Amino acid sequence: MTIENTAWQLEDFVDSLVVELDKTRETLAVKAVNKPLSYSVKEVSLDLQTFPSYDGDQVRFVTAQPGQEGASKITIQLNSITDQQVRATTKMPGARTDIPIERIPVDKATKKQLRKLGVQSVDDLEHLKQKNVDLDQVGDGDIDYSTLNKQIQKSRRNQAPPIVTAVSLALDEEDQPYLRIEGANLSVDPAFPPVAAINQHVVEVISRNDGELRLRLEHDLQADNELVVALDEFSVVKVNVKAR
Amino acid sequence: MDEAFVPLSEMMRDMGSPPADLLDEDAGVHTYVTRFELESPVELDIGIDERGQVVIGSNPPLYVVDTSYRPVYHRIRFAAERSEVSDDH
Repeated sequence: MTIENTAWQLEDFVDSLVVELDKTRETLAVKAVNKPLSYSVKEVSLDLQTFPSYDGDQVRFVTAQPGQEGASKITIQLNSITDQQVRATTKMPGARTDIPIERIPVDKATKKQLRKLGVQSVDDLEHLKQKNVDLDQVGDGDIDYSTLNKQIQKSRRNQAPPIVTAVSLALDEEDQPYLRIEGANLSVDPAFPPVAAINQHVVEVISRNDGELRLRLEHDLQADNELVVALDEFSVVKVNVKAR
Repeated sequence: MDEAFVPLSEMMRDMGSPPADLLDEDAGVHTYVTRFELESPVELDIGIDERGQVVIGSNPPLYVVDTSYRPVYHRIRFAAERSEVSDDH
């Protein structure tokens, strides 16, 4: 059931219009299976009588109702487009690791600014960085890029959270005991040296890679031990280790 | 969507059915439409469904009675061209 005369956004309307046109094309394509000659829709134009409103953020439209006068006319014209033109003008759907701007926890104003600049995802931002585009120059200059960068890193970290699968005791070449932490995504920021503490005593991180961390044991382990490791700015792992 | 309306794709399909080919075997003439354009006032029922998607219901003008309280007519135009479909499609 629909709610009539609800305000709608132009983008949503055009999306639905394109879906309707696709359905028309599909019907014609089925017809074409039987007939070698068929008709295809080339151009569609729609004049809409609407009342627009602007809430300071978005423009919305309400379709004019019977008896209402003074409506504005919007003309939407869809022309046929070749597959080559589609490829040249359309951004391919985001890679699996791409993060849409909507999912980055930054304020609404920053998101709006980025959208105005055509930035829809983190990959778009990276692309601009690679081209040496200074967004401060082209934007309104009110985007806090240091906060934005941090939030992007945080979102990326959320996509690859640290996983600890095992903690074990081992001896190095000099028969010195160390604690081995195994898992995944344990070292994603090379610029951030991990900090570890066992039972609230800071211990040295001997080595690290994505799948393993080695911690120097300077004190004997107790029956129950609390191990806390800050792997980078956005992830802290806390593990209870029982010694037997 | 009001039950008097149909999805826009159905209306376009029904309005846009081209006339059949004209074939005069005696004269050896085969005539067909290569392109047609259609323009019509249209009533629209634009709403939002429970998933938040815009639903476009449409219908050609239903009534010809001239009244003081008239429905709002929008306008649709579309063009369709005849094309040959290759076997590999």
